Amino acid sequence: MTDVTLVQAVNLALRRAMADDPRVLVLGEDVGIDGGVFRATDGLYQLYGGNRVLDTPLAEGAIAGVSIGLAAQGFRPVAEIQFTGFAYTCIDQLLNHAARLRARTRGRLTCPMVLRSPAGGGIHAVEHHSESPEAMFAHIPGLKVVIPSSPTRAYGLLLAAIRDPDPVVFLEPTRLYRAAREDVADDGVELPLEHCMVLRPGRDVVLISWGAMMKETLEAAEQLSHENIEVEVIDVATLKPLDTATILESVERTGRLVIIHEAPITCGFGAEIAARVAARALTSLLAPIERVAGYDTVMPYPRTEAFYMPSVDRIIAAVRRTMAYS
Amino acid sequence: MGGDERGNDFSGPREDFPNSVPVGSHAPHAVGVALAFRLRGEKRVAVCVFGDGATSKGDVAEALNMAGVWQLPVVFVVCNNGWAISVPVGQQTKAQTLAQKAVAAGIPGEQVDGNDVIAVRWAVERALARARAGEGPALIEALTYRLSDHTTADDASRYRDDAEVSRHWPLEPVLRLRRYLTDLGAWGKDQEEQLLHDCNQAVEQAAAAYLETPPQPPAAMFEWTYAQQPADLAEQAEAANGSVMGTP
Repeated sequence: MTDVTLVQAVNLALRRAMADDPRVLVLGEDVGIDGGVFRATDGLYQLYGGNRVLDTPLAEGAIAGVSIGLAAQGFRPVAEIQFTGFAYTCIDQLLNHAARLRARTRGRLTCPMVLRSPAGGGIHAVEHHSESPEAMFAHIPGLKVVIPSSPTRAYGLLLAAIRDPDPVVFLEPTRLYRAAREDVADDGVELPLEHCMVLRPGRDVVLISWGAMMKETLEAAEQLSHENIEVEVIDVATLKPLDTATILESVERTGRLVIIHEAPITCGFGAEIAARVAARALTSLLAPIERVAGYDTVMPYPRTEAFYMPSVDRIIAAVRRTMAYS
Repeated sequence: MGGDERGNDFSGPREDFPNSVPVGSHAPHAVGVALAFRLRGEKRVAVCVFGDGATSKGDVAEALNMAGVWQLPVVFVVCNNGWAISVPVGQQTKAQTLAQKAVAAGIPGEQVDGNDVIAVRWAVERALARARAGEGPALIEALTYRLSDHTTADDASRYRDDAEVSRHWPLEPVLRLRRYLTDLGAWGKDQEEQLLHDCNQAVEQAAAAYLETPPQPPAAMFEWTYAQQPADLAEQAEAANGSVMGTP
């Protein structure tokens, strides 16, 4: 299909998954006749009816909990949490139940569910609608955490997440929902959850990010190329489990690393990447690892959120620091 | 469980969930299971048991509500033994009964004498039949009393009178069932001795089987985290194996 936005790609993947597998169900708040507040589930109710597209009462914890019951029974529930600010009550269900059901029962019961939620800032939203909680989910053993950064990747990664035998948290960058259009082949082909994606090759420095921040990261790389700084760009895409090998290979080749994410810097997922690189590729580093991230503040309201979000300028400044280091 | 996850890999019924250690958070799972039964057109009912303390949790309220909205085949059984560790049920809720918790969810809630085995069976049987017939969920509050400490680590004398406990012993359900069956001429000393002997033997056999089962190799914790072990977890397993693992 031509001119597909990221949210439409999510919709296409859901349609494809539901057509291919009768076990796939969609549930959440306003996902039925309304098609979701961002229209990610648009048309699914009309296609598949109320038995496969379920409008739930307004109870996020129970949405996650009910999905666990369905998944343990062999269904493939895809739950939508309207905004990540409402997803924190789901952490109890994910951490205490979904992510450990396989381990607790030694495989007798499993939990092949997906919890989708729009995430990230820069959309001029009200409180609790702009946060990036990926590190909280990535800390949970047994869970997978996936964040797409383009329509094509959203389609392929969501299909993989739905088909995965373990629980997956799928965070969709709200800012990218309608930001760009791509041709997306609705061919049912999934993208692997095992690999980071190298979006741009470069010899001098590697920038690592995920989700909506790929936009600023790629823009920074483009601008720096005009100064003859050749930047490699990696989209992590699947944060957990993390493809360390691809990251190490890039760092060993370039010797410089800048990690970019919207979430607060302390205990952000960038810290995990930095620690792995420091442990395994320290002697390759020509400069200290830089992190360009959100601050350890409450996510500000829309009028000041631009100061919070990592910008192209902040990324470029960090790259310059690593290039100047000696 | 015996400190070994394989204790949850029980032979039957294979679909049952392991116990939920975080109190009450399993109630939504039962709603999901009941939904699965209905979507597959199976005449089955999910049963979810929790204590009086769990009724204070949001998970339970959410589960009751959702089961009510969708009229699912699920029966919630509250085992109200009066105590959540040291907190009496009067400090859990100002509601007069826990069965009332069903009212706001629009589903039937009833109390039953939880120390009367026959009454409990009857109440559960009726709720199951209703649910199987597509008439929706139910909540049963089984009134009983916790005669023991909460766990072996608990000392109930710190927070309740022995006199209160003593008052409840005559209502103990096994005593009452024995008295009832004996009066009917359906039960006697020999049968009871045989039953106790059989039970004792079953417990001894289970304990012996457990003691004869060697602990899992340390690698098991890595193997059961995901269906397919991710590369980074495999690295951890390998590193662990090369260090202190195998010599706990």
